[in-house]
Amino acid sequence: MLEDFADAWLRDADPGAPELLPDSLARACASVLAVDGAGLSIISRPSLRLPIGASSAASAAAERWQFTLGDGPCFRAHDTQSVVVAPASVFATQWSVLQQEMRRHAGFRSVVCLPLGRSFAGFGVLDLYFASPSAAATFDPARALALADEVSDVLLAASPVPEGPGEDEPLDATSWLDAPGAQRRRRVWVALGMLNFELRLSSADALAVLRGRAYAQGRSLEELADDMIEGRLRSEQFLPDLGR
Amino acid sequence: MSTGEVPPPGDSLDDAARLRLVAGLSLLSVATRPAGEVVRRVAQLVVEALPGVAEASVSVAHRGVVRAVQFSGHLASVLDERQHPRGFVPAPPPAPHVLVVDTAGGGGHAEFRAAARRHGVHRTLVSALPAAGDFTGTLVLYVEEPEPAADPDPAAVAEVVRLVAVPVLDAAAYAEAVRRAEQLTEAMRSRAGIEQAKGILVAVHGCSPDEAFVRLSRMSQQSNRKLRDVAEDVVAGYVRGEVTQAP
Repeated sequence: MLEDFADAWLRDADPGAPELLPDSLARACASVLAVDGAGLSIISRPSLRLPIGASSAASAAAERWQFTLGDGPCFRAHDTQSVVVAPASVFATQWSVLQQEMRRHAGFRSVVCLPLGRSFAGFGVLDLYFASPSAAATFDPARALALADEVSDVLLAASPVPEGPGEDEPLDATSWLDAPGAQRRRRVWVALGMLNFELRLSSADALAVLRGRAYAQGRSLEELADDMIEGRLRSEQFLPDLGR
Repeated sequence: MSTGEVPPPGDSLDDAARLRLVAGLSLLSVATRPAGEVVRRVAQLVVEALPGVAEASVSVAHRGVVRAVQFSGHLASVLDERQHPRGFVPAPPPAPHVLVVDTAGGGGHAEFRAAARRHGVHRTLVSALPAAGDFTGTLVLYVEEPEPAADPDPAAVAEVVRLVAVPVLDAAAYAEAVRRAEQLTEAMRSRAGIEQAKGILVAVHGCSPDEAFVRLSRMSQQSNRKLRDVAEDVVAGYVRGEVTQAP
């Protein structure tokens, strides 16, 4: 299976576009494991989460909704460093809002999430998505866990870190940390900075008001960030009394 | 210096020594202790396994850069190659050859030979650990007996090399993965901090994020500080309520 996986991502990957490596890895995961979608994210608690690769637009949308709501099986997989299996029955009791949004925006009804880098502190997750409500429950996570370990090794080997101790991170070199999804997600932090300044909000509060509005309007944090940066949405509009 | 012959087939560690070495190696859990400690313990186990060897050192390199050097004992303070220019320790021949260096002999690596000689070492036996991915390793054995007859059997050395390679290089690979994961998290945090600082400058100046980035870069250049540190100050400055006028 690992050979099939290596074959698949090596065939798919473009050596001239390192920022697209995680997309290739996600597509290879989806095809080798025969799931409906796969997504890769890196996470640093409490709120930092960057989507780096997805096997499809629907998988990318599913990730955005987990991040928009700030809760879900992927966060739990990272926090507990263990596999989280979420068929529709589990979703309904633990993450019912996310369940609705994922079905509506991505067409997925069940999920299996696996930690990346679980042999040390963990630095992200591999999300596997299923259109069927029960597929997650019958899925065998052992093979997926082996793939998650392999993906972790590939990502770390290709990560933009200094070669030796005491050296600086090469900020200008393009790497998978500059994946399109991650670049888009970074604009959320620009929006947070604007809210920090204009509404005198702490970063945690700024993220909370952004999430509240995104949920209420059925839009992603990225879309709201774009609106703010491009001047279509002003900080004052987040103040509760202006809505009346 | 002379390069030893390829050792004859067969293992020539005695059974009790082999058992002790294998048992000792099996107790080294890579995930629960620092790589340096694993490597030092391996060096000590090698000394216990090979009669005639007074001390051993194990070094590990990643893509040719030495990452760890550990000695079984006191020679560390004088023979650690990281305190010397590159090429201080003679490079090992390809496995399974063993390079025997007579510290009283002539030839290259005079500084290394002199230092070893001063500390009572008559010969050193240098072997390469079989490479694993980007990781390579070297095992150096130090013999204090004047008579070459006291040297360990080359076949025994070759067997020790085979047995210790996996735990040593695994420990190094694990340490490297941990380092990368930590730095990745750090890179992620610092980039988010830069974005957030951009957002603050966008709000302060009514400029675009790209213009805010230029401002940040200029602040970094003028103060000769890292972009990430300047960004952190902008964010922290806001929290303290100091970003009230154009920086």
